[in-house]
Amino acid sequence: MTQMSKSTDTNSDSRQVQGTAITVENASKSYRQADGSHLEVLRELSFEAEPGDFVSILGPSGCGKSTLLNLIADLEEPTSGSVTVGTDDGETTVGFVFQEPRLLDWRTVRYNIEFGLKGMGIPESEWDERVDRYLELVNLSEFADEYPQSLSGGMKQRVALARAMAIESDVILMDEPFGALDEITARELRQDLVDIWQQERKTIVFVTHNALEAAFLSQRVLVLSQRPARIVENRAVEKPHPRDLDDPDIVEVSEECVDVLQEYI
Amino acid sequence: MSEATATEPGFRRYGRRLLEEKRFYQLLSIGVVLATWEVMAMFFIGHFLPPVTEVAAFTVSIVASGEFFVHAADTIQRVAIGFGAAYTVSILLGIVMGLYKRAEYFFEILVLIGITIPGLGIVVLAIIWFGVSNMTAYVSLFILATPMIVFNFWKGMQSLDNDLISMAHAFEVSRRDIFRDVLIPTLMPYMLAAARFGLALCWKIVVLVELLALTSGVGYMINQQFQVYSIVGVLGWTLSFTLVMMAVEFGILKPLERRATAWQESSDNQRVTI
Repeated sequence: MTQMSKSTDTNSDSRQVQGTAITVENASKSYRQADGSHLEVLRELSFEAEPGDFVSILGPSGCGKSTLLNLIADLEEPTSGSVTVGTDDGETTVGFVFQEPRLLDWRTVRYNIEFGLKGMGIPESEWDERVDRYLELVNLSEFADEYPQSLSGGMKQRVALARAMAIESDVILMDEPFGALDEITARELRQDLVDIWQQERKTIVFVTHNALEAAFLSQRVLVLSQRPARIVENRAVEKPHPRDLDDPDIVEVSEECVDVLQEYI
Repeated sequence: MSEATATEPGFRRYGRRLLEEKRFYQLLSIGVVLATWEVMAMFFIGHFLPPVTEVAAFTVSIVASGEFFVHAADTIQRVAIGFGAAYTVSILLGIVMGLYKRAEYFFEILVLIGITIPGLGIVVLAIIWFGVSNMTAYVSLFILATPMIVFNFWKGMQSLDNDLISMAHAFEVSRRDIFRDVLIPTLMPYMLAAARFGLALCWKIVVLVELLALTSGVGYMINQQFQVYSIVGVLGWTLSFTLVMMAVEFGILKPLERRATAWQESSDNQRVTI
């Protein structure tokens, strides 16, 4: 690790106890293709995220960013190396937000959030309270009984965020969640995400191909190269929140990241 | 008179609302057909086309005597068993074809052959095999309806959203709940379409089987009327049974469809403009 990016002064003790939120060590991933050859997607990635970190993963399209998230979410296994989430007791869960809302269109907003709660084995007695709390967090309280079809794209993505938050895992993984939204809506949701993150102090891993978005949101930006992806830059963003999208520091970070990206394409 | 001050007379407002009603056009189209029939009957004096009233009177008489219910019950029972078996097997087969590539390869060609096979050929074969028995009807319906219903389910499986399944996996949702909350709701429109097409096919085939081989049922009675060249009789039995089929459509299928698609915005307002 090149950077000790954040608040070492405030809670280094608790960090000692909790350990890191995410540890990726020399993780590689390759797939066997139909013709028998191997497609190497990730090559020896290493990084750590502390509890409460907001880390962005920036890389060109198709470089394997989503594969990395799948490894962290334990939906796939690394071919070599290791990926550890939490204290490695094997039972750590993560919340997932995808590029598309991926809601059940035939169920109400409330049911969609309960769908995640049920999957994660949260006792039914807690559902009402959690649905209400997290819908309020994403400003959709009055839409609990609506069907997704009556919501806008941005609102649907808020429901998806509430669904991921509601399971109250320590880690939230986000796979280009604002990539399909128009810029105005995306800006609004980015700011809301920062607010929610500061309020809830989750560890967030945020995948994007938008350098400015990465610089604006996160405390640290990891830049991945073209496939097979390696980490070619691990850049801390020191500027405290609230930030401005056109803040010179933020723009500078994003331009540096773009330079690195271009170098490795 | 207070109506005199209104900008638009009440009857005109009412008429305008009527022109937006679907029910109005449904009744209108049936009315047009019956009126055309009645007018044609006036020109074809004799036995070519009897007047509507005569056919209606015949229908009332077979209903009143209870004869209609005896034969309709036999026909319905044959369809219920033949269609029920075809539907059950088709759900399983369709899901298996959707989930497993090899099963799809194996059954696809059989399904395609099955939906093109001439119905009459199968019916005649079934008569040779099983003779004058209900089994002839069951087997004919099963063989002819299954490929068509499977085809619908299989299409439904292809419309399953893999993104939703992987979302469900990310939230560790159990297989049972994926079935209940993702698979079944996705398949529902296809299940209803399959029921509708499958039943329509079964009504037609069962009447044919009864006409050719059996000694009861609506098809048998149509044949009886045919033997004496009674156009009123043939029309009466045919139309009265059509009413039963419509009752199934409007009493069972339509309400089910409304319930299953309640989450969707009404498609009445979504119209293509060219």
